[in-house]
Amino acid sequence: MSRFSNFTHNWQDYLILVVAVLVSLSLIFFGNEQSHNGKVQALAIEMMGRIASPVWKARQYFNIMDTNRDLRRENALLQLYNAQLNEAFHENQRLRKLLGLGLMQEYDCIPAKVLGRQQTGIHTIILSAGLEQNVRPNMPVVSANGLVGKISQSGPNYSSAQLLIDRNFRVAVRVQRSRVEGIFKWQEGTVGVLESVHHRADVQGGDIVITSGMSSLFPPGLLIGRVIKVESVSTGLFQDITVQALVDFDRLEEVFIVKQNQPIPMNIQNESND
Amino acid sequence: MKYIFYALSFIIVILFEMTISDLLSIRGISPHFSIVVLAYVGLVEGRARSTTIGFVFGLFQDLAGSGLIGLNALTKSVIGFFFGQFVGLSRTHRILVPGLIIFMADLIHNFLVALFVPNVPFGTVLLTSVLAGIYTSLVGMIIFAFLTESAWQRIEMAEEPF
Repeated sequence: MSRFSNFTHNWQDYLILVVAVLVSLSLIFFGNEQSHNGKVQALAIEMMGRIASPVWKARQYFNIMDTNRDLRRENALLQLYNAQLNEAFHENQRLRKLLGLGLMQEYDCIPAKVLGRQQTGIHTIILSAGLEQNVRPNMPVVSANGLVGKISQSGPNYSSAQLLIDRNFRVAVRVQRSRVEGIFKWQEGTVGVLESVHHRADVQGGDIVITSGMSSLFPPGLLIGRVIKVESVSTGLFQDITVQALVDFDRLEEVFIVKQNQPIPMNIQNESND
Repeated sequence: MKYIFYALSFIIVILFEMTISDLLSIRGISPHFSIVVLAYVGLVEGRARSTTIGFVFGLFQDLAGSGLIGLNALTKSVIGFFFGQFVGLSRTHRILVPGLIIFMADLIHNFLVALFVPNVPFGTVLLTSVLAGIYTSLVGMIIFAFLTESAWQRIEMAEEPF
């Protein structure tokens, strides 16, 4: 017994390290299922959200003049753009009716503030909206510049979202101009790559990349980025396409969580538009 | 009392890293204040206690950030143990040695994280780890240079002198 206690006393530091490492590894490999840690993590997010909320307000106070000026400018531009889109929308509605394409998807947006971020391992942000605002896991998160990520965990009033710049994140996309489809994944720094694009597919520098809608999580048409480099390897089947994201992930302050409603018949939409 | 002080420091550091450390970020690289705080804990508490404190702190950080649960617990335990090696550091080494060990700890942290993040090219890991390590160690050196007299007394009076 005394030999055992001598041993543990002499090697105490190393034993503690080994136990801590083993417990951590067990948590990494077996403790990351939603069913195991959902409630504990939701509680921690709720707590951090409550503490971070006043900090966010203080930061906003100092930025408010600049933000206001930028928003006024953006608002003027968006009003012009919106008028054009409105015309196109009504034209599209009429043409869809003529072609018999009766179903349209409708979306709601839940606004949320970015209260904090985590950059170790999985890139996540903490948002000021949760289950009480109908925010659920896997809902897309967007900003004015495009797709930001998706909800990974929801607490009662706060939630966390996995960012597009996380290495585990994949999204089905298409090139807006040529409708070429591929898979977008983050690479490094501020750029990502477009995978599985055939070497003869029509992709050029400057092309805009949007979500394709092939995945059930993300609606089609959300902005992802701009193609900055296209390299066709003569021996390979696919092109190496580098895409610069349009969202500035270092300066995220407010986002919108997209709530996808059921498809509704177009005549109901028309009634609501009238 | 001491542990309440540590707990409060870590909560403030987590909050700072999650909410406003992006203001200090240079091309996406921010200093890890949590590693600097853990360095102080390690120098005062020694290997066993700083490993345990690092584990608890890392676990809370994992839960609060909703990342990969266990990853920060792992890195902070190992780093806590590493800092504990230098327990009782003399104040004659008050800037350079803390800077060096914080740099090495940040490298260990970043390499351990990279092990669990798939498909990162080694060159990228190396570059970002070294840059983040330099940044964190510079911040650490500034903080250690301005540590109060009583804080240095606590470090020097720790059990196993370095």
